[in-house]
Amino acid sequence: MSVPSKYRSRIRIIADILAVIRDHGGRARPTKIMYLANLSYERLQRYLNDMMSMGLIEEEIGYEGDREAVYYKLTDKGLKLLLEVEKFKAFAEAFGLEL
Amino acid sequence: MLVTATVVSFLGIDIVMELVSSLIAMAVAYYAALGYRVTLSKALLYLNLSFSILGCGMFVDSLLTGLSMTIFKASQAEAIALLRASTLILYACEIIAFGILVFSYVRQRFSSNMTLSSLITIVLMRGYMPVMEAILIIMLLFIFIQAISSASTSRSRASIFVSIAFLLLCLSHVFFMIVRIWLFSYIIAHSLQLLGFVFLLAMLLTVRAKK
Repeated sequence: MSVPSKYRSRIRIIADILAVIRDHGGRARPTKIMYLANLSYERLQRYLNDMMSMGLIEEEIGYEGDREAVYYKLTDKGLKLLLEVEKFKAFAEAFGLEL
Repeated sequence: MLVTATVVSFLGIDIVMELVSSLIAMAVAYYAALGYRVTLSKALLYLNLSFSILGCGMFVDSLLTGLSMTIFKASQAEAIALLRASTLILYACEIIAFGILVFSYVRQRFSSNMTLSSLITIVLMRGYMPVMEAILIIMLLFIFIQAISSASTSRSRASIFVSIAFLLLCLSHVFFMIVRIWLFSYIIAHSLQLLGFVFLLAMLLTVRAKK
């Protein structure tokens, strides 16, 4: 049986972040990502910065009620990577392995 | 006599079937390599290594078997030596390939103008070794159990295809093991092996078609 490993690989964390953003209509608040991707604040910031420099996500200022708020938006490159990773994940899982 | 005639008419087709199986194994290896390039996942690296070795082994075996069949009439001794060498190469490749897969699971868990008799000799002289076949059967059973456990959890079509593929490969080696006592099992073994690789191809197409 495929037993989930204790540690997620870097690519799995990136894919989890991208999936959270996609599942929230293509943009999400950092607190939502932190909670759903199960990451600490420091770790999330590090990943978000790396992913922005790779062009996978973009920072965007939006409004939550009448307050300004930071959102992270999925780019085409990010969506493409997420779809690819999900295919490779399904491929590995078909053999009972995980990425 | 009917069985013998059927096996003889099957010779040549077995080479084509093995060649097709090797190409499917290469396709699986290639897809795993693409995945490794994107994800740097060790699981995909092991899948790539395993199926590359398996595909190469089957490819070399089918070429050498074809070559030995062509030279059989001219030099029987050389043809038999070639057949034995190709069988040994295939065993080595299969044991390494399935060994890599077993390791990756364990690692994850813990962190035509010939005479009738000469044609039959080709099948028998391949020298299928029951002990080697038994090792392969045990390895494939282990891989099948891992795959079916995963399939029962995920219930994805791709996992079910992989489970069926490894079950068929395992069964094919059971039939390869008994070739010496039941000649017809040679045809069944090759057919099951090809069918197993067809299921792997179906898995690959299912995964690729995923939206």
